[in-house]
Amino acid sequence: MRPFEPASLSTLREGKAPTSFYKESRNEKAVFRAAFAARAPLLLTGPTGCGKTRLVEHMAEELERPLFTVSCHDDLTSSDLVGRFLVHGGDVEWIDGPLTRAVRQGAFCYLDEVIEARRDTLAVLHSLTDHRRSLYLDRINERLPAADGFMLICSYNPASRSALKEMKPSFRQRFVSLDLGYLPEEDEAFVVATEAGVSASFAQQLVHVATVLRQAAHEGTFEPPSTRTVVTAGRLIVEGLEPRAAIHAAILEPLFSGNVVDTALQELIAALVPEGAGA
Amino acid sequence: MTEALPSAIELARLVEILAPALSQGRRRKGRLVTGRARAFFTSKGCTNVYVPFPLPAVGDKRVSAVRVATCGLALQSSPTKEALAELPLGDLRPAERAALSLVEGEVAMAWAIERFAGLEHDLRALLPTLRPASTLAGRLVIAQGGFLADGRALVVAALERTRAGTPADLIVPELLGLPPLDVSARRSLSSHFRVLGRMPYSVRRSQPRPTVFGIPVGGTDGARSRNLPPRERPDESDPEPSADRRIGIPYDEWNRFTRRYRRGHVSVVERRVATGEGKPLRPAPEILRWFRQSPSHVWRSRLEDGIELDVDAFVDECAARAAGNPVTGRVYRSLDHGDRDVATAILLDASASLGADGGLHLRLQLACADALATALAHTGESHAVFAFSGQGRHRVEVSVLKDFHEPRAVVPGSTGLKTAGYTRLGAPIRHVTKRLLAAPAERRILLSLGDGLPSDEGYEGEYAWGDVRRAVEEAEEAGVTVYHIGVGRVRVDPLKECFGLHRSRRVVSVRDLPRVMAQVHERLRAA
Repeated sequence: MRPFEPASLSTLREGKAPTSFYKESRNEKAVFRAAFAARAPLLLTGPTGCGKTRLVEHMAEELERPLFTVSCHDDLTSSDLVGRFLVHGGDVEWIDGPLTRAVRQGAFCYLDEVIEARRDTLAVLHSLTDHRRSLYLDRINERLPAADGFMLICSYNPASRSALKEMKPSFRQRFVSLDLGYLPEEDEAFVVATEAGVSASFAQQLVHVATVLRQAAHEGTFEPPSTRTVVTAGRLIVEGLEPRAAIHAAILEPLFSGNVVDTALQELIAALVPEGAGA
Repeated sequence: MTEALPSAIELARLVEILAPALSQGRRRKGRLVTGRARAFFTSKGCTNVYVPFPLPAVGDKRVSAVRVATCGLALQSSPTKEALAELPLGDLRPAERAALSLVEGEVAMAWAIERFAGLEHDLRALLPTLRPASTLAGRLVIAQGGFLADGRALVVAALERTRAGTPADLIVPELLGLPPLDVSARRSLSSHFRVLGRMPYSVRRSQPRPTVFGIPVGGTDGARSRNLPPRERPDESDPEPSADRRIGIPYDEWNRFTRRYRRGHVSVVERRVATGEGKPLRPAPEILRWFRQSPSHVWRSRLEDGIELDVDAFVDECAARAAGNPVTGRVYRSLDHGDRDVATAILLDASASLGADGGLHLRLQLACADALATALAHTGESHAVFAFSGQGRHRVEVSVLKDFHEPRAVVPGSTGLKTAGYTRLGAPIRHVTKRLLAAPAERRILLSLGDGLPSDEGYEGEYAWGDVRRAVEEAEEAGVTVYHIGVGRVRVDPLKECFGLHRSRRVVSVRDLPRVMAQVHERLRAA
C-alpha cells in the first residue's frame, strides 16, 4: 500500500447524510438508554474528539429531548449554569441559566469538560444527581424539581491538561460512567469516509496518520489528534486542498506548542505524506 | 533547506518522540549517543534506539539535519533489526559485518520507503550508493510493512556479498549505523584493567557491575545503607557507556583550577519514570498542611459581567440615572484568580548517600515533593519534579517524575524511586535549568534538595564546589532562581560556597524539612 495515491473525488457524499450519524464502539447507546430510563446522570470519559458530544447529540435526537450544551471553562460559575439577575432599566430581572431551563423543560443538559469548571460550581449539581433530583436556586429561594425527561450528562477527559485538578471520587460516584475511546482503525476510517466524503482507502490513510501521531502523543505529552480533526482534514481535501496542506492545517497546527515537539510532528507528517501527493 | 542545527537537548526530545512513533511502538526509547564511536544503532533487545550527536555530516546540503535524524530513525525502526537481533552474530569478521550492514540497510531502506513514502526522496539522496531491496535472492521479503523472511536470509546474502565484493564495495554509510549486535559485548583488555584497577565503588566486590549499587567512596558516616538492586531488565538497559561512546545529552563542566569549561564532559540521560505502577497515594496530612495554599481568589467589582450583582455599583448606577448623569452599566462583581505565572522545578537528590537510615531521607524528600506538587496542582501552577543520581561522568541520570506539561498531578512518591549512585550536582542543575527555560512562564524557580555534598569519580572537594557554583551562576544569569535545601548534618558544609548565602539553607533534622521547604517556596514564589 502506498499512502496517498490520488484520491478519487467521485466518492463525494451524495445528498445529506443523517444529521446524527454515530458509530458505536461498544454498547454505549444501550447504556445511555438505560441510564435515561433509570433517571440516572451520566458521565462520559474519553480523549478529546472521540465522539462524546456526538453521542449526546445522537441520543437526544433518538430520545427526542431538547439539548442544552454548556462548554465548561475555568471561569464558569454556578450562576452561569443556574441563572442570574440582569439589570433592566432601573429594575433587576431573574434570567434562567441553561441548567435551570433544562430542569424546567425536562431536557438534556450536557456539561462538556465538566472538570474545567470552578470547584464551587459543581456543588449545585449535587441535589440533581441523587434521589432528590431537584435544583435549589438560592438567589430566588426556589426549589425546582426536575421535570420528567430531564437528564444530566457530563463529559470529562481524564488525560486533559487541566485535569491537574482531579475529579473527586465522591462526585464521580454520583454518575453512571461510560468510557469512550478512539474507534478501532477500520471503524474510524469508516467514520471519516462517511463524514468527510473521502474514499475508503484515502480515509484509511488519514486515520493511519492520526494513529502514528497518537503513538507520538504519549512521549511528546501533547493531546492526541482527535477523530474530529481527521474528519476536518478530509473535508478540506474534498474542498480541493492538497493533502499535506490539509493535514497540516487541520491536524498538525492545533497540536503545536511552540517547541521542539512541533518539529517532531512535522517530521512525522513529512515521512508519512509525500509532498504533492493526493488530489 | 537551511535551518539552525538542533541543540543536544532539542534533538534528544525529538528522538524521544519520533522513535516510538516511527516504529509503531516497537522502539520504546530514543536516546542520544556522543563520543568518537557514536553511531545510529538499536539495542540488543530492540527496545532502545540511539542517535549520534552531533549528527553525521551529509554530502547533500538540501537535506536538513533534523531530516537526517528522522531518516536514521526510520532505518533503525525496520523489522530487520529484530530479525538480526535474534541471531548469535558475535563472531563475524569486520568485512562480513560491513556486508551485513549493507544488505540489512538495503532491505531496511525498502521497508522505510514503503512505509514512509515522504522519506523516499531524502533517503535516496542520503544513501546514493544503496539500492533499496524488497527481495532477497528472488524472494519477496518486504511487504505489508513487515519483514517476511528469517534473519538468516540476510546473513546468507551478506556472506555472498563479502565473497563477491572488493573492500571498496563494503564501505558502510554512517546513516546505516551498526547492526543490532551487542555493541558492548567485546571488552578490550584495557577496559578490564580500568575496571579492576579503579577505586572500589561498592563494599560488595562480588557484584559484576560495581557501579550501580555503590555507596559513596567516603562511606555513609556509619549509617546503614540498604540499597537493593533494581529489577534487572537486560534487554531494555542501555549498553554500558565508555569514553568514546556515551549515551545522553552532553553538558560542559567548569574546571575552577584552569578556569575553563571541559566541553561535553558529562553525559546526562533523561529517564521517564512510569508513574502508572505505584498507587496514587495522598501525602500525609501532617506534611500536606505546611503546603496548603489556597488558590488566590480576589473579588473584583464594577464589572460589565460577573457572577453576582454588585449592589453598591447598582445603587450608584440608579442614583446616577435619577440625577441624569451618564451610566456605565458596570454593575456586576466576580471572583477572579490572582495570576501568578511561576514555573517551579523540584530537583531531588536520589544518590546512594540519601539511602542512609533505611532511605528515610529520600522518603521524606519525596513526601515533601509530593506535598508541594499536590499544593501546586491545586493552585494550577506549572511545576515539574526531577530526581538525579549518577555513575560517573559518562552517565548522570535525571529521572522525570513529573514533567511540566504532564497531564495529571503526579505524586512523586508513588513512582518507586530508589537511591543509587553518586552526586554529580552540576550537570543535573544545568539540565533542569534548560528544561525550566523551555517551560512557558514569567518567572522560574529551581528548588534543589539533597545533602548538598557533591561526590563522584573525579568530582569532589573544591573542584566539585566550583562546578556547582558555576552551574548556579549560569542558571541565575538565565533568569532562574535557584535555592538549595541541604538535608542532614555534615562535617564540612559546602552550601554557602556552592549556592551562596541567600540561596541555600541547611535543615539539620529531617523532620524540619516540610516546614522549611514550604516557607522557602512561598518566599521565592512571592518575591
